Amino acid sequence: MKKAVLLILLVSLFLGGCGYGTDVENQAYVIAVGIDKGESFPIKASFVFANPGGENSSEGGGAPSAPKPDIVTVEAPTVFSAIRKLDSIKSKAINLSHTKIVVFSKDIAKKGVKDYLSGFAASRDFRPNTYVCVSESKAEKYLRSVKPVHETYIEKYFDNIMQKVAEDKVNEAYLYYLYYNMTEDFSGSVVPLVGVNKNELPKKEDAPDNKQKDDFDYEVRAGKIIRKGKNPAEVLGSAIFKNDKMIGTLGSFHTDLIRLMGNEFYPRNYSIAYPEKSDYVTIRMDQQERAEVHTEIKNGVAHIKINVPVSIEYVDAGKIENHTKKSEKFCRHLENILEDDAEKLIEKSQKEQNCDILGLGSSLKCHFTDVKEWKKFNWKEKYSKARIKVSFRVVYADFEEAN
Amino acid sequence: MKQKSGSISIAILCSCAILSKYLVILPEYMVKYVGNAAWLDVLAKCIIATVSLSIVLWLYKPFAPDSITDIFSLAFGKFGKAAISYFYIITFTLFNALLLRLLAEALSTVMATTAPDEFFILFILTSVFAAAYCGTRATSNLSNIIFPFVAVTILTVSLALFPHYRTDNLMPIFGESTKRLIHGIFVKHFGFAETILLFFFAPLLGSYRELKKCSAITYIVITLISVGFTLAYCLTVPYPASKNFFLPFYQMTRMIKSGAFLQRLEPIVVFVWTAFVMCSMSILISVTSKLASNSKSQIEEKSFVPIITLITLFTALIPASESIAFSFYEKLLSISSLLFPTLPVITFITARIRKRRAAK
Amino acid sequence: MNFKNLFIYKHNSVENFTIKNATPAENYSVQKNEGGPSLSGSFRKDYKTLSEEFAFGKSGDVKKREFTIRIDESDRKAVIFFIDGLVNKEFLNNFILKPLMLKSREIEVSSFRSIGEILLSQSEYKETNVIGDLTFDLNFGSCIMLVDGAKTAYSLDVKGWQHRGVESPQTERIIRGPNDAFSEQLRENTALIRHLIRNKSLMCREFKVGKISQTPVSVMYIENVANASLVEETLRRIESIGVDYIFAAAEIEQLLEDKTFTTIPQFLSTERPDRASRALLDGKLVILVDGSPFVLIVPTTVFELNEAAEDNYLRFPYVNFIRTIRWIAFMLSLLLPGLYVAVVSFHSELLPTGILMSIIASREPVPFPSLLEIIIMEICLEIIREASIRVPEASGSTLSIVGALILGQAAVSAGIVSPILIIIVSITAIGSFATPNYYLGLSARILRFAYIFLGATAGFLGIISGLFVNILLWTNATSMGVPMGAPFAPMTNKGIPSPLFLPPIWKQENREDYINPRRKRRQAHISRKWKG
Repeated sequence: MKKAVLLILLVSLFLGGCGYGTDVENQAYVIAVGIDKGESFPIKASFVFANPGGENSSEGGGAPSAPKPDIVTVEAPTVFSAIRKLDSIKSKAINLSHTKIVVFSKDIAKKGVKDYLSGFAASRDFRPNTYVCVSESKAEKYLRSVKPVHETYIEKYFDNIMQKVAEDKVNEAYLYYLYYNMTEDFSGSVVPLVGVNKNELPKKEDAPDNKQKDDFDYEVRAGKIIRKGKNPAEVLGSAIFKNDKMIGTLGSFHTDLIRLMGNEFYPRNYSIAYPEKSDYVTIRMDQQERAEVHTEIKNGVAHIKINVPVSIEYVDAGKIENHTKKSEKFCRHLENILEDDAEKLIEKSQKEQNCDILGLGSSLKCHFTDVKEWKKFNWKEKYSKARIKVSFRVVYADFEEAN
Repeated sequence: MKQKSGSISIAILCSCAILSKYLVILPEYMVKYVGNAAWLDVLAKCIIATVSLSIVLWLYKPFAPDSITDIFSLAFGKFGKAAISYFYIITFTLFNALLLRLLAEALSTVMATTAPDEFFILFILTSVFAAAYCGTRATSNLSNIIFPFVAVTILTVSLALFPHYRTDNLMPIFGESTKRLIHGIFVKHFGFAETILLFFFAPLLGSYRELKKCSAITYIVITLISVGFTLAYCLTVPYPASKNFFLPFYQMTRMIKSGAFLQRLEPIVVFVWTAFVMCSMSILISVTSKLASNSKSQIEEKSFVPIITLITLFTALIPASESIAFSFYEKLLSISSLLFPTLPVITFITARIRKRRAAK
Repeated sequence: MNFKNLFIYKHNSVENFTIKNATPAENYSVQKNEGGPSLSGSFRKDYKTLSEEFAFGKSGDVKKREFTIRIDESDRKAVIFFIDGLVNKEFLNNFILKPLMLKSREIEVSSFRSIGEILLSQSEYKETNVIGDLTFDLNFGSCIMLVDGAKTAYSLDVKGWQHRGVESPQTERIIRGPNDAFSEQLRENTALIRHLIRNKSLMCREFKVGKISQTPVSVMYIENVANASLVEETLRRIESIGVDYIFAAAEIEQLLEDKTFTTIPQFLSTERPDRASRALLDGKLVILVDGSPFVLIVPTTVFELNEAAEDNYLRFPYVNFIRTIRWIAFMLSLLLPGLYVAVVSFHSELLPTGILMSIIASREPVPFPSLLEIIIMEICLEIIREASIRVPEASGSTLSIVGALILGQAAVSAGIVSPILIIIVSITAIGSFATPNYYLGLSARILRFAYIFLGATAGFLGIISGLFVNILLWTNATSMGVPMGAPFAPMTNKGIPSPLFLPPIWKQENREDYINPRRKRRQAHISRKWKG
């Protein structure tokens, strides 16, 4: 009898809980969120919903035809109110736990994303490793123009492409990195830039004069690649955030430079105009040794030296016929280009933006014993006055040469 | 099989009781106070706790292997023993109740359901009651099985987080300020109060030697796991941000992403750790009922388990909100130094004096 | 009912039995064929010595027959000892007893020498006084004869254990290793074990259980290894059974077990003599019931329940791989449906997006909630499984067609269940078939439903608290006073062959510690002497 009473108590406890779960098919999963400036409300949020495809795919037999994702754009005072409004649009419960990417449009990013990010970081739904990026065009336009070619589902496209550009700490594209950097007051963050391409090749008459440009051109960023293809969406370059506000964008080459200086570089091929503007040499750049950062504080001014070793290999030697003799000259040429560009980049960040985009502050922290002293030092102010010297050392990495 | 419980089993039992509480909130509590040097703080506290334990052990030596309850009555008489027992019962029950409340709050966050906290509290307490009712030995068996899983989980989490570790996060090495760090080590108490369990279980161990071995294992395990875990937290989350998270363990596991397949681990990890907390709660309940029954017979002990479980349940429901529960918990932690080592030290010294007088 | 009494613990007056520490066995040497003590020559003294040596009266299968032989015109007392089951009785009657008792009276036998020369026509005939030799021969199927006045004892070969009728096991099939199985005859079964353990300290205690049925029950153990308190307790329990009838080992198992209401079996049953003998040599007890081809091994642990008969015959790397797979299979059969419900209704963030999408796509046309869907499928599966045992062999194929086609294909295309669920249910079923112990598989089948409900109620919290209570109950159960969770919960000594990871055979030096055997070591410290 006792046991029966206990059993009834337990069963009622269990059955009471049966209503708390929601089956997966009754939930609508958001894959991407885009945030733009709205017309009638402060923001205009676009949500990409995953479309699992329904009955067709359950039958099996061959790959299911690509189901079209559903994109809903809502104007609302805040993102969370937009999510609330989705409840009246969507028949299923909204679930944000599979959100892959959050896209901010440029004007929203410039105004500051603090409110959104702290909301996202606090909410359980958004996972901390959701990718964050900034769109050159309107975020809604970008999300609507994504047409995955190789992937059946759109979420896979975001996963793949963002993994390619954002798996290093330089493009601090994860939500939590951005959020962490936001709470610190010295560090800038670099976030990938996405955009929509015009997606047409220029005609002969209105083709711009692109002859002198090579891969070291720092103007190229998302949406500016001259190309044609099925999918007009693309990712290139990066946006710089100072705390929570975007303060500028970087082209693809400058992003790579930051990677080089931050030890996050992985080997790539570059074509460089050499010796004249008309001819190209293709090299494979690699970073076989780590870049060294020497920091020193003299009279309250930070002296920072960055030594970046770079090794190159010829992929296509172009006009450099005698590798052994002229390679030295070519190496010096390359060093000059890299140093010039790095200096320009740092000068701009010091003079115009006043934002520590290289994250030098974290290596400077070692000179202090506790946080109080570090705060007293006030890196945020002192960054613009810091003496930063970058030197590149280009080595020709070839077996035959080494002998 | 030995008739006595092995020293490893008891060591695991005690580590369970101490660590479960630690993993829930304490790193965050530390970080709030001392900044990114929380791990140093924890390390120092572990060392201090080890020293204090060895002093207590030395004082305990002539009484081995008596249970501490017997020594209470030796030192303070019948009424003194009753008073101290009730003090322990009340604090342990409060600890349990508040931990339960915080755990329920945390679980409802993790599961994101509409279920009320009471549902989680009842659910957890049902299992805890079952374990406590079966007695200390059964709980010890249970913790023997669960503890390896928890250890493996913590290890996996810390290994999976490896790509997120940044040594820069540990700088500046002394955290918020050196003064605060030193102050924190001595004042802001860590809560090794559950170490007292070792002395409750001493009769099970049989000899002083075994007790010494058992305490050594316990403290090594605690030091390794607590320092390692706090270090991992400090390495992954940079200082100003690390203050903002309620559940550090949860936050850490949320960051794990290895490949396209293992994108989220946190439900698994959080619930393994829930089992761990349930283990420790049932240990505390069975010990409190032992204290409350004030007898050696298991039958009387068992009749107190339901009562104490019900008291825990109602106490857990008292705080109006999670933040009140948390602030109360913090206050409770500050008196934990009274539970251990202050009270045992006083007891043992008094008992020694009394014993010597009696011998004369 | 008085509500006040709801929480009050009523304890049973009898203290639960826990295994006591063992007195270490005297260090005896295994019989050697030469040397050792020998008979005195006096018939009465030798008769007593041999009775003790052969454990006559204690061990139920040792039999003797007293008779007289006429030698040199006088009746001499004689006795033969033999082990029932090991000898061929026809042989014994016709070629030993008949000539000795009858022919000795027809032909004139002048001296003891003539017994061998004239009377007995055995090809293997031995006269010896060495007790060790005699014991060895007895256990090997000879009969030992003592004759009053004779200087030596006679060891006569009458081997004849049942080769016929011994079939290969039905439920415990293995790829490599012996393939004998017990049969319904108790005597044959004891002989099969004695055939493997030719040692005098193998005891066989006989009981009659059942007031009406008088079913013979034997308890076998090795006196020098098994813990005395364990033997005592088992014998006490069997003696105290007061039922009218029992017919099988499974019944006596239920009458002897420590806890009736846990799902975990507390006895290991086997139909393999080699497995039973191995258990005996580890210090365990074997209970044989007449009429049952399954014998019971006691005590056992949770970990042993998931060991198969083959484990000891496989090489070191293979066995650990297979054991791991078996544990995975068991956990899957226990938890998978519950985990599925928990994930689908509470923790969808745990799944990779791709898998989530295919689950949604497959669940979209299904009208039932996931809990109901999985309960329907599991019940159908259990029905099929039960039906497949009952179904006559001729219509077996119909069942498989109906089961596979209707439940698999048609249910999916009708949109009643999702295809992903079919996969889950079939993995579960296969997992429970991979569990070597039938009862353990059954307990997983029952508990699975509990886990499904728990998963649907509170997701992973439900599963974890279910596991919490499950482990609690399983480790708290005892098998004849030995905790089922040993050697992990409670932790017993180190240096035993681990139930999860079996060391190489030369490293399995000690017997399992938790049964407190009288002899701790199983083999010499260096068992491979050739390695030096």
